[in-house]
Amino acid sequence: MVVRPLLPAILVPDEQAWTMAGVDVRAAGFEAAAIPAAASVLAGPALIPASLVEALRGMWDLMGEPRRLEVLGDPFAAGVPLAQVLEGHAGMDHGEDAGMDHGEDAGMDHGDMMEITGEPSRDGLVMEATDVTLGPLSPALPTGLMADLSLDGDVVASCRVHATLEARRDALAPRAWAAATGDSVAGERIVAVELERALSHAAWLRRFAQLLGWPLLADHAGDAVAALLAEASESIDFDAARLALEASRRLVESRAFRSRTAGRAVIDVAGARALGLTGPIARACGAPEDARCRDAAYAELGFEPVIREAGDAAARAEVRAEEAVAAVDLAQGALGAELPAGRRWTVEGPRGAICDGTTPGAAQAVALAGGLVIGLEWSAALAALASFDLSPWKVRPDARRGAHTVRTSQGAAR
Amino acid sequence: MSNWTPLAILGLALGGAWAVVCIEQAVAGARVAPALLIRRAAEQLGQPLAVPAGRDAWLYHLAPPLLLVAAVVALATVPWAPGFRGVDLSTGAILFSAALAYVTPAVFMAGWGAGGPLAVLGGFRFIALMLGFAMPLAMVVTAVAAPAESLRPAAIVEVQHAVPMVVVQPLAAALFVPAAMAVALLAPFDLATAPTELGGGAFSQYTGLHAGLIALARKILVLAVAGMTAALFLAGWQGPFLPPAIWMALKTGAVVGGMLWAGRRLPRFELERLLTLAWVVAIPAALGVIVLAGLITLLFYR
Repeated sequence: MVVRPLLPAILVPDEQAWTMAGVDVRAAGFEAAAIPAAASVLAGPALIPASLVEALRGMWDLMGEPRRLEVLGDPFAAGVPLAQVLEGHAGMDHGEDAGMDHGEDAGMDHGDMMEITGEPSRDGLVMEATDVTLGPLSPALPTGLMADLSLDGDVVASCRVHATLEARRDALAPRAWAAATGDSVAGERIVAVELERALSHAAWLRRFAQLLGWPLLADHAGDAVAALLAEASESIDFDAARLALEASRRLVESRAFRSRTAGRAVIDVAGARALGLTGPIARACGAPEDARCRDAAYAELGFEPVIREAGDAAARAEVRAEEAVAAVDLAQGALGAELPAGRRWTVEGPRGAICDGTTPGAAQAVALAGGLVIGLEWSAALAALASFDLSPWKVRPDARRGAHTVRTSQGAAR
Repeated sequence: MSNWTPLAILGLALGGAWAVVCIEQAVAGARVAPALLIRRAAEQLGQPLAVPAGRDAWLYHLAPPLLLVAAVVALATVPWAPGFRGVDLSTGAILFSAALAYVTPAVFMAGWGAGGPLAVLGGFRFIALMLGFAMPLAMVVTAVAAPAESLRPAAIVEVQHAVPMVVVQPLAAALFVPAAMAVALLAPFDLATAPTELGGGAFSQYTGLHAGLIALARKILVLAVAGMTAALFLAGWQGPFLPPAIWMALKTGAVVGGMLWAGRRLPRFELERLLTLAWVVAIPAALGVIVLAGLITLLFYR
């Protein structure tokens, strides 16, 4: 593999979002910078959703001179032109709006920021409460996701997570959505959906490894992403992808990984069923929720859902790591295979079921995640939040009708 | 110490920082060209100071230079070669620990001065970490000095002419290296500056000149602790065939590479786990190391 120099850059949206939009930012010569000041380039889309504008300006300030903007393509369908947003912005004053920098309320006085709560924390000390707003451009969360936290020392006292981006479909799983709303041949559909699942899980794992500060795991996951980011499904190097994903999976099952994730943010199977959770989150607590189980084509390929019982952050990561390997096998098996057809309107996307233009369980997962990190120390809380792989995209309420229209028009055409 | 010493140390600091960046990139698989990083830092050094609004401006401005001074003083105490020892004090090993002690206020001032919750959290994390790790660091230095019966780093290098200290006192080395990595803000002990987790933590708000100074100071700090590790445990400049300075450079480079490599192989520690390790394991073990060092000195070095 040719090693070429990469330029540290601020990536907007984050690397995972670019990956899922099919853009290889590393091939374009950029690598996510560790901190904004280390970046001299902001690599962004042509259009930026209005909800990200303010945070983006704060980020631009934090980079400091010299800096430039590089437009990479467009993972967002609509929004304000990015160049305009930054042009009209003075920057460098480091003043009030620099407070939006990592989404922290940094511009506020200490007096406003911290107040004595008078309530003893778990170690019996009276601590100062600190409010922290993460996102929508925090490196610790997917771009567009926000978390309002209140800290008691360095322990999370309250947390509320919400998604700020809205669309008809989740931009982090475009191929699964296309399969759910379109009418494609079973084989092609499975190849597309499974490769997207492997790519999504690998991109998530790379991000998670970066959060844990573990370059070894991030490198393996990154190798898998690079192998899976081919132009066409036929040109994908399945062996390289499988090798990298297997290496990632072994690290996910290692003691070092479990020491940061085991026993964190536990969901029990009854709770998951009651909330109607789907996808890896549900499967990690023992609920065999998988739309693929009811698909004849998948049965032909010998599909078995990946289940874990523990329901904690470690189990969620294990489910994704194992599913990614299985997805590569399924995709390779389905490539050019004769599979039973059949119209299926429920597709199992990387984060769970996509059914009739909605994502059942997705909103519930976002609402649930915040409450589960209460009582965890900051780094543990962030890792636990990341383990849910929440999407920053809210699927619009009218999406149901939109999907329905597509479906009936196709039905009529047939 | 001659009139040229300050200039020599400055040259060593700048050249060494460049070397550390190159080793860092080599360990990371050369994903980023060193020249690009150096250019970024150089560009930043030419930028005006950004004025923080509503923050503790004095602490904010003073932190980067303090970090740089602490790093350069620590570097100056490292014995590089018989003829070049920077600041050659009879208490050089203590000065090294004392200089590193100033890294703690520098990091905390940076975090508190910036005032963002995550920056403050980074500062507090570093204080907690250093309360636990500064003591084993200083205790191990005295244990290593015992066989030489001198706190002069050059004397400690000379006493290793037959056997390197890492063979004589392996436990001391095992305690020194992680503590040194923690002081130098290296992964997996980089809790104060955790890039994704705290978005840069204590240093997250700095831009321009400040950011350039911090980047430079951190590289010099890595060089200083690696150089001292090579001097205290790997017999410093001593070795066959090659000139002393080359031996020292090779050993220091290997220690830098080893530290950075280890940082990539392990996920970042959590604070609680690390503090438990420091107070329950490292400090009692360091006390044991001192006792052992006394016994070793009496039995083998007299």
